[in-house]
Amino acid sequence: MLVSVTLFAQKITLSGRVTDKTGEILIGAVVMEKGTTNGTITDVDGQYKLMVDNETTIVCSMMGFQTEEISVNGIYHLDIILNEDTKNIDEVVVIGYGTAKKSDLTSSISSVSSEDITSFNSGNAMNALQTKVNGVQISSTGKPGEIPRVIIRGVTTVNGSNPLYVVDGMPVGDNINFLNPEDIESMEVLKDASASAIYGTRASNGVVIISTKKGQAGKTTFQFTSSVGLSVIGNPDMAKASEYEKVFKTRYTNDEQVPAYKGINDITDAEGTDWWNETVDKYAMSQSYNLSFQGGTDKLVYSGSFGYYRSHSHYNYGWWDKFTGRVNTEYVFDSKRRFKLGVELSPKLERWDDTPNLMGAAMAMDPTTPIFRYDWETIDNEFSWYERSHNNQEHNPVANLKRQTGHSDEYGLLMNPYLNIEIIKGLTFRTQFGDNARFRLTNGFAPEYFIDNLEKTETSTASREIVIWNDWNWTNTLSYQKLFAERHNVNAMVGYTMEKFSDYNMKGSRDAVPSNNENLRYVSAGTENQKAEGTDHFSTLVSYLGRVMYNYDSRYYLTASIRFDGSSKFPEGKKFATFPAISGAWKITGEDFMKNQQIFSNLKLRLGWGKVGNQSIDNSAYLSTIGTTYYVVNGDLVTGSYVSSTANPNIQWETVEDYNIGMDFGFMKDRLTATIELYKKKTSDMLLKESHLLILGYPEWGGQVWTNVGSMEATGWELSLSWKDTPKKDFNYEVGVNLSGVKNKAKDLGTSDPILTQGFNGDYIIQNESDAEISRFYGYQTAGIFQNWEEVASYTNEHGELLQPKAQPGDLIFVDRNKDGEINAEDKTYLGNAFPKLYMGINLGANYKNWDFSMNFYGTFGNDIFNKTKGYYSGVSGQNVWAGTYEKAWHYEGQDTDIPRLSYNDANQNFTTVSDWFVENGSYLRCKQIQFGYTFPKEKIHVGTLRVSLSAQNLFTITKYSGFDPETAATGRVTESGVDGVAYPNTRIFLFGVNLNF
Amino acid sequence: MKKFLKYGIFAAVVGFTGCTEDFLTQDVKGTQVLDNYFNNEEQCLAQVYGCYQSLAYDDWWQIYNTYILADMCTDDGWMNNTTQGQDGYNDLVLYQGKTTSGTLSNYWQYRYKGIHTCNTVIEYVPKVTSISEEKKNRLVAEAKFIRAFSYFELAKNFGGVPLVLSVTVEDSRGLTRATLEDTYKQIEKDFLDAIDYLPTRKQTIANGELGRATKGAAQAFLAKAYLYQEKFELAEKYLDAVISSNEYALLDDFTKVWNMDYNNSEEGVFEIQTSGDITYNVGERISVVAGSRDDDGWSWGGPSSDLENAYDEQGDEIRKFCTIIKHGAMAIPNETDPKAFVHKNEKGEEVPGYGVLPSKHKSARVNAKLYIPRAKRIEGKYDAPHIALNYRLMRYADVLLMAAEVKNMLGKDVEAQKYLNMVRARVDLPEIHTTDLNLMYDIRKERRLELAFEANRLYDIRRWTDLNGEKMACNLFGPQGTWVLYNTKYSTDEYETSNLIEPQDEGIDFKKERDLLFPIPNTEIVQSNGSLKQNPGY
Repeated sequence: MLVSVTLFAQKITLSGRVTDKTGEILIGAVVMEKGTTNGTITDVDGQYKLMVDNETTIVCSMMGFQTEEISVNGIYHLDIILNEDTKNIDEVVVIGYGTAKKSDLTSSISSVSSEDITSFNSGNAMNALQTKVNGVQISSTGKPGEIPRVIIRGVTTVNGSNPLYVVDGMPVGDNINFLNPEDIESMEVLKDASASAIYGTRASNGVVIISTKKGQAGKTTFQFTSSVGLSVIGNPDMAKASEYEKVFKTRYTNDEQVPAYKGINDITDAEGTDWWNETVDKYAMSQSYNLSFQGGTDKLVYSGSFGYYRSHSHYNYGWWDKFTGRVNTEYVFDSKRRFKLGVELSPKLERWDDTPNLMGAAMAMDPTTPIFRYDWETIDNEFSWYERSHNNQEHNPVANLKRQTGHSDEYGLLMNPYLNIEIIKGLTFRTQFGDNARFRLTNGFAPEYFIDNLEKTETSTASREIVIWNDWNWTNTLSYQKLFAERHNVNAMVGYTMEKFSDYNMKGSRDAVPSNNENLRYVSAGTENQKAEGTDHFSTLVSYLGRVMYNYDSRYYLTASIRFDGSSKFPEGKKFATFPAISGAWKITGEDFMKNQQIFSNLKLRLGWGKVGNQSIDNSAYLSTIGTTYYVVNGDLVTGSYVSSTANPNIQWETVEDYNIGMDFGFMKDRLTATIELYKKKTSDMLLKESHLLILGYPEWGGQVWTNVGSMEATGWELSLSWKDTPKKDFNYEVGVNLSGVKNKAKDLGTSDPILTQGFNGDYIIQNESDAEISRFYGYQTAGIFQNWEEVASYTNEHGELLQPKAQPGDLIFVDRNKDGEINAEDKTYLGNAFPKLYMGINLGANYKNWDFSMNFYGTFGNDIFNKTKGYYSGVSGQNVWAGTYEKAWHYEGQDTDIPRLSYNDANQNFTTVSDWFVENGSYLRCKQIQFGYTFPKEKIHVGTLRVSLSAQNLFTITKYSGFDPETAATGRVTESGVDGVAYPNTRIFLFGVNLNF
Repeated sequence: MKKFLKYGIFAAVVGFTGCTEDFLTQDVKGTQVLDNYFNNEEQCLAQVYGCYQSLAYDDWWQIYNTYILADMCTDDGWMNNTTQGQDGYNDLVLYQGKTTSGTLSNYWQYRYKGIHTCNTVIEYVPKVTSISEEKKNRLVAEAKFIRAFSYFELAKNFGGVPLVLSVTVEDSRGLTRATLEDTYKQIEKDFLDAIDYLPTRKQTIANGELGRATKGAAQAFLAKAYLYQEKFELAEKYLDAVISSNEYALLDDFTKVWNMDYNNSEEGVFEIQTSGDITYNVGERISVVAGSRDDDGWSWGGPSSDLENAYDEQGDEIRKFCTIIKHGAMAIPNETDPKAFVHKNEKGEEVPGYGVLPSKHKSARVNAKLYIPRAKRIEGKYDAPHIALNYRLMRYADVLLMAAEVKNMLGKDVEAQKYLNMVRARVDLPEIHTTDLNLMYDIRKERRLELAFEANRLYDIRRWTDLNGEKMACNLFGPQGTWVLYNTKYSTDEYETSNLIEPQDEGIDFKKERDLLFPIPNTEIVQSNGSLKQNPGY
């Protein structure tokens, strides 16, 4: 007995140093005696000292490294070398209000690493996800500061599509432009409701959880990254002056009318103006610089960054830049590491000059018109130097560009302090108070100028708008984690959150600034028509939440969560809604019967169900508001009132119910992995700002009122394949393919059926109706072009009446689909589908010695585009036409063309009828990025590691689509998708990047 | 410390949970809410002013534009502007049968928005307990007057329309158009209700309320509604009432009729009230749209040579002068600034005369009634929101001519002659003593000359039946229409016949089964999913 006591009591002091393979010391590595709570942490020199049993096992662990277990027997010194953890399989992913091991997930969550995000240089981190996250459709235009449209797993609501972004536990709304992509450690896309229901309130469009980089104990390290990009824009091939004149005149003479052509007759191209070149710059620059650092001790860890990003538009006006800073710190109070206090601070300054929208004007402007008036030198006002379009109503785009003055500055501070207390082992209380404050100052100046009676501003206006947003969020959670009887893993959480969203705005303007001088472009300089307005808006949310995650032996998993949400946006009695979710998984490879097979390294089945909500409506949707107006009585002004918005007193939560089934496969030690998922999402009580008949006289444009209109359904599938291999010591490569498809269907649009969008000459292009796919084009079928009068005359009904009495040879033939002897609305049919049948992302990557290479493709297949730019074949209202129109437009019998004749009256309405003539196949495959990188050998760069890279974005696109950019047609609201006007296209961008670690 | 923290946080959570109810109630700031509006007279009155404001809707030129458009569709006028595509008008002016006019769509939408504001008054004001019945009745009467006016405007342009008479409509699906008869019934009812409680013109003057609806205005419009339905006896009753009230009289000089110094004169029965204060959008906007291209205007809606001939035929120099400004004019009503009578010719040289260049204007003429003298403009330019010219929706001359027409139709030709000659006397035209059909045509001619470019002609030619049993519009337009034949065969007008950018055969495509009404905006037909039917032929 005595002996044994002495034996147990025999302790020795073990000490040593922890390093990585390269001999770099590791600070903050945890050194523990196995099976005990006895442990310590390495100091700033990587040293540790620990009293241990004579004969024991030492466990050394550190984030990002493989844990080492070493048996010791009576030794006093032990240096430990940790190997970097390259296996992803056990990486930890952030889920709502907690974390989980990736291998333990029961629902559909895609995780994206910082490397994947920063390898695609863009101002908005979501753009980098386009090819990389399956089932997430991201489409963007190339405009500086543009927020990409993100659709996670199809459309279940007509009421916005962007997901909720949560940054370090703080919901920040649906825009992350303010974030520096270099600050992001990881992004988790919660794709199904079983994952996102814990964010109940605003999760109906999915949730993206963003974790920023945190410090780690150790020597301070620095990273400097920079890239400089050159964007090149294509030139739409518009007619030059001489062709324009011919087309213009022919439109009249074909209709036996006198051409109202003004200006030089028989103009030469040299006498004309190339408006595109004069308005749009071929090249534009973008640049980004970022310096980040991280380090810490066993008590305090920190990380931080300074970043600058700037992108310029393809006009001499219009750019966006941002300065961002971030400091994340976490301080441990006590030796047992039970009290932790974290503070995160990220200030930012975003600035932008509004990018004008002049591409359409530059394409349509009359090329026979010179830029400047002949007598411009005699005119003092520089804004009046310009010539009015001779032959159409287009405003001079160069003059318009000159008048651009809109500028905004936005200062912001996101702070997120938290306190983490481990009350007893496994039971942790966390309270976090996040505050996201932004201050935006917008200045505008509309100069006085005179170009023409129809192109002038009689008096200048200076305006200023100030908006302050302050959103706070208080989150309290209590979580408990324990392993019972070796096999029962329990992880439970309850929480309570409060959120308040506030905005405070003030707007003022005055007219008649004494001159257009730059120093006078301020409200104070105005002398007349003083106007001001200002008010506050508030909304609030309160939520109670709870979740239990349980697994048995890492084989059987069950997760259940519930969230009870209250929102100020709904009337009394309708404020609260409940969002439950449940999911389970079976890790088949964990079973005994799978132990001896060699095929699967991982096989896991997942099932999930959940409900999420949507409340993104106006704060006052359940109240009718009163607006102010004016009239004159007895010669004096009097103040009047009117109902300025129509209430829906019955408005309530929109909910989305979601089913998900998924299967994860791993083959050959996970060199080949695959995931298959099937899902179905169904909305009910969908919120829509419903258009009403104008006869109801509702005050908002189109008679819109917030209404719970009905239901929608999205059914889809995803298949992800990934192959990674290291055939040689210094060569590895990977191939990833993401394929997905989704059908977006309106089940019941209630009183709104059908929802018509994209107005077109008094009709609508898109009809969304119940029990049918959304965003489809609806109009007339055509059957080619009448080639001669005989064809026109014989196109009759049974009574011998002409079906198209106004048609002539060269006009489109519209099909009498229902054969009722008339071409009328009954003949309309669905002409195309804006949403693709298949989405594809392909990611290729390889490393050879110090070289690395990556290539990303994105494409959509089976979608159609209503190409409004085909209207540039018409010359309607004297607008310019596509080059070659004069020859291409039908002008002789049997001509091989699909372009109707030129006509001033367009009596047959070739160009103003919604018809399949405008509809084109919108499928495309685009090389989003190619990148080559070279990392200099350490021996050559003594300070650290240096990598340089060259990349090209949007290098080439394979498509049959004849318009400018098939991707830009997919932006905009989901019920009006697929119509291509002239939007800012995705340009080709060449980038040079530098990455230095020291 | 640990315990303190633990319980402290617990207490805080519980405390905040208790306040949840309050926390989840966030009031709307900076604007009143209908639920607790309509408490006092001031608010009720403000809402009535909102009804009046709907007449021009923050002086939006698109609302006024329908008045110009209506005149372009007659033998009085052309679209006129030939410096740009005429796309915004030619679908209707050329009678192309298209249903996509933006101007009409806006007019439709905004008349109904005005009706919505009126409905709010009619529904909520009677429930307010803090003001007297008398006052409430007056306010509701004003709202009914504007509502009736709005439905009358709709009926004139579109025929029978859906009748929306309450603020909220539970289910708008399946709403259909009322018949023209029922639409007029509603118009009559509202005007009749209004007449009972509206003050006289004298009372509004005494109370400093000039410009608000009067009994006389309601009677005049009601009479017009009866007249349009050819209910001559009823029309007579209310026209007699207006005339015998002795509240109205013709201005002595026709140049004062559309002169902003004579807003709300004794001839003004009902006018859209305006102000030149730039801070508020309560000016008259259409002068800019109608003005000459060579004088900062947009030159839409110019008088025709046919109208000029009609004045000449009568020897009507005064009203011709006050209606038509012709290129090179050396005098314009109320214009005293010599700078007005200089313009730049095609070569950019300054030459004498007011400029309405024939190359830019189909008829080289513009509407004189809406002309703003330079002294009344800002820096000599047309400046849209500043124009304080009340738009005359009903003037006493119209009342007299309606009375003449009604009396003639009822066989009371002596009285008819009396009223007709009152109007003619002012412009120094000799008395007319014809009877029966001759008198009928004389009255029709007089109406054209007196009310040209005041948005009356179109509705008159749509309602007047000619001797061949067709509506007058059908005899003016179409391949054999007299106005079409005049322009294509007989016209010698040097300007119109030489500027062919606006086609000379305008109106040739007129179809009598279609074109006596405008089309209902197509978006509304499509949106209604078929419950609203388009007018025949479109």
